[in-house]
Amino acid sequence: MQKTITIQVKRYIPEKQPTPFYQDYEVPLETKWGVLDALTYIKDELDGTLAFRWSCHMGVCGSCGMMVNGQPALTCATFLEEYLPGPICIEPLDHFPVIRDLVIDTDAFMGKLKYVKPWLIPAEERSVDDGENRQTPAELAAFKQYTLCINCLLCYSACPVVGLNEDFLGPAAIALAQRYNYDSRDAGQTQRHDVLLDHGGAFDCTLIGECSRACPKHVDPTGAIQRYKADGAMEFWKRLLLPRGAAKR
Amino acid sequence: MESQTTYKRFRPAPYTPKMQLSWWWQKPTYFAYIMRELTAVFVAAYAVILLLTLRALSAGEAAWEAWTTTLQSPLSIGFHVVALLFAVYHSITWFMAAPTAIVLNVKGKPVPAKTLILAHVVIWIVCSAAIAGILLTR
Ligand code: FES
Repeated sequence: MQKTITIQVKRYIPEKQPTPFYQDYEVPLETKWGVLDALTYIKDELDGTLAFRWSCHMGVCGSCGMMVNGQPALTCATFLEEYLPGPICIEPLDHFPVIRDLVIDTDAFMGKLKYVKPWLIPAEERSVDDGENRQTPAELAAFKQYTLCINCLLCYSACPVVGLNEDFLGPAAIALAQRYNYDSRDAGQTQRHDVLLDHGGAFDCTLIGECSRACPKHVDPTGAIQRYKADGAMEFWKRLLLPRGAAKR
Repeated sequence: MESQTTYKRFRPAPYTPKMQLSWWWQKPTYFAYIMRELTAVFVAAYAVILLLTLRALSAGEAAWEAWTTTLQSPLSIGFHVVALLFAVYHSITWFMAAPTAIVLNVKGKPVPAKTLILAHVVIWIVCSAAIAGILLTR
């Protein structure tokens, strides 16, 4: 019976060495241990200098995403037993600058996210006295899937376009734009069209589909982007053919 | 595009890994994607052949005869077989992708992806058979 498993971690300690390197750790092979548990064991028992992010340990906070044997995964929802007999190679998420060890810099993504205005832009200002802004179950169903995104960025790591084109807004940001575009309470489509039709927007997607395969929450960013391409193409022609003003309506 | 860089001053330089040129060899899905993109080359080449055929047709009988003999060379037949395979692959991937862009509701219920793919394939086969029928029965 195998008692331990080798965890190979890609480390980066900028003040010590300017290039990343791999370090092996031998951790107990506990049944029901997730990859994140193994990393926690390393940090607690073997090497306190190892840096990585996590929070909820239950697949909802989206902070523990890493490359596990080359595939983007939530390490709290990925189990050691899936990789027997090992070793398991853990690297920081692809296509992001690495700050230290397994910790990536998400600033660029945060900027892109803000850019698509992922918030309700109502047609008219509402006050508290107006009461609830109600929706039917069907209206909710139109966008609910896209609300499930936890910003874990696995889709960014899975997408080669993100890696090749740093201006691309990326799967999660466009899916979240669609989450508001399809919300019956929202009237911000026109403002989001400006961003999504622009350079780096939805049409930079070349339909590889890997983002949807990587998504742990089944948001299906591929679908969100392709649906936008259909809507965006309509808007593009409207803006081209209709007189100014009419198209903005 | 702006981004907040408040902490940058206290951070040592981050390391940004570069994508390898061979990235599309690293996953079967990436490879399948690149093959799908490659189909465009064959479709474009075939379009050029079609244009040359039209030119030969308008240039008189001698030109037409010469052109059709060229088309019957083993090299040309080989190209057509490969181009056909790529075109079929392209069509299949296209139909498989259709449900990602189409959200159809019938009586309040979303139409399943399989049904959408099947509908596309059936229409494709019917159209192809119709065209083949017109061309071959003349
Ligand atoms: S720790 Fe929160 S998603 Fe994994």
